[in-house]
Amino acid sequence: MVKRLGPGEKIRRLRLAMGLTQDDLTNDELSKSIVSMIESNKRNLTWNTARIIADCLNVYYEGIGKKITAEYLMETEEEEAKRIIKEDLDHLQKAINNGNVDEQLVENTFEKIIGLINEWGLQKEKAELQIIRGDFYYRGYRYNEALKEYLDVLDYSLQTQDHSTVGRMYSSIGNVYQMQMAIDSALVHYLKAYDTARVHQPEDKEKRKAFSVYNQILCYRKLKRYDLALSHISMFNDLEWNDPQYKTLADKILLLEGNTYRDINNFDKALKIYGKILNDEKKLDKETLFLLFDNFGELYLQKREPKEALLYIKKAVSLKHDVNVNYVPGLYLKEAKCYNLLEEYDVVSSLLENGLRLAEKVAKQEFIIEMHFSFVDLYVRTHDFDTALVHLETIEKLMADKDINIYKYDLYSFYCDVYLGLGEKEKVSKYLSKIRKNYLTN
Amino acid sequence: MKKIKGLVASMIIASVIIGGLGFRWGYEYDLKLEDTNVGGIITIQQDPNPVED
Repeated sequence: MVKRLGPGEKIRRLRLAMGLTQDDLTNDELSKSIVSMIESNKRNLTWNTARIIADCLNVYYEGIGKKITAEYLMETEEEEAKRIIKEDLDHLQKAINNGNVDEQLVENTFEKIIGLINEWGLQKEKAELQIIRGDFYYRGYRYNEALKEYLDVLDYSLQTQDHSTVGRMYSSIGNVYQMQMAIDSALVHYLKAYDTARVHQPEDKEKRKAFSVYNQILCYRKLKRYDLALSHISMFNDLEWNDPQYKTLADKILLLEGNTYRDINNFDKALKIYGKILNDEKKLDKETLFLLFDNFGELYLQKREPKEALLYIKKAVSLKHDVNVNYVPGLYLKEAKCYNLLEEYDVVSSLLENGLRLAEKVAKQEFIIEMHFSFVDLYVRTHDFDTALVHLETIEKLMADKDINIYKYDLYSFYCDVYLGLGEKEKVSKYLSKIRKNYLTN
Repeated sequence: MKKIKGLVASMIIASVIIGGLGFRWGYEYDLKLEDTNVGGIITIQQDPNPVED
């Protein structure tokens, strides 16, 4: 256990550091005997005495640019530990927010702070650290590690009835599940976040409700429940939350509305909405602008107009360094699809390679699988069935590992294509029978 | 009596026409549904990331 300094020992060390005697701290209000008793812990330090001693010490300390406060002298060992922890956490948070931090250095700092926290059994500080650590892991795509931290904090905040943190943790846990494509679990947690805000009315209830509805919309779109997405977009627009962040989210909500109309093939309405957002181009943040161009590109892809799509995709590419890198694999995939429609297959292959590498780095499961399927599509078209087979086997393994079933029929159907090309009729039959029911045979 | 017969005849003719149109629309609609259920270019959804604190 590291020994922290009590007030008496602290004063003694501060005095000696400046080469002062006990006499140097005395005046009309404070005698040498009192100073001596305080330093040897035979007398408690009072606020008044702490102020007098601090003033005496500052005559010397301010000359070297330091200031001793009465609070610092009065601090108990536990209070000092808490202060150090808070300072360390603030520094850590700032460093992480600035980006480009050395991961190992951050991990070492976490360990150091956790050591101090455990020494004193400071549960509240531990929860604060775990939130910072969870967010750090989340932004580094280390989703399982983030989940562990958030679940611990959720447990603690439920016990201490800290409803604001409970809501925040439900929201963060939902985000982890959403990024891992476990959409049902994500929705459960977003709904819990909303309910916590509605029932317990913490200070940040409006923000919590807005976040919950926004994140739910993203989930409904992933599930292709466009009816629910649109109804929740209306719900979001009816929320009352007076905060600048609402405006940023509102721009994104309009984009999501456009995306939803596009996805139900109402291209005219989608174009109208995208055009409306583009009118305010200068006021948009880079992320929203990037996504707008990207989704414009997707709309023209759906209309089978690859040249028009490419115009917008190139605009998104010019912004790729200003946005979260996990958006970029999708952009590569779109670009590849455009060149595929234009039958420029050599470009397609290199775009897919780059996209796949990046998707693996940012753990974007749905794009990893779609990249592999795109490779299969390309190699089937160019009759390289052996390479197509390698990609199919990779997809099958990924689906089994991550328990993802939504691509099952695409997988079987491509296997049929490949085995047909390789002349293996029995295997073609095997996969065809997986796709359909049997009527006469068992 | 003649008027009633005329009315009934008109109703029968109208029913046949409406029924025929409905069948045609339904048939075409079903075909269109079949067409769009599978195949086509997969949509690459690129929505914003979830909002964080």
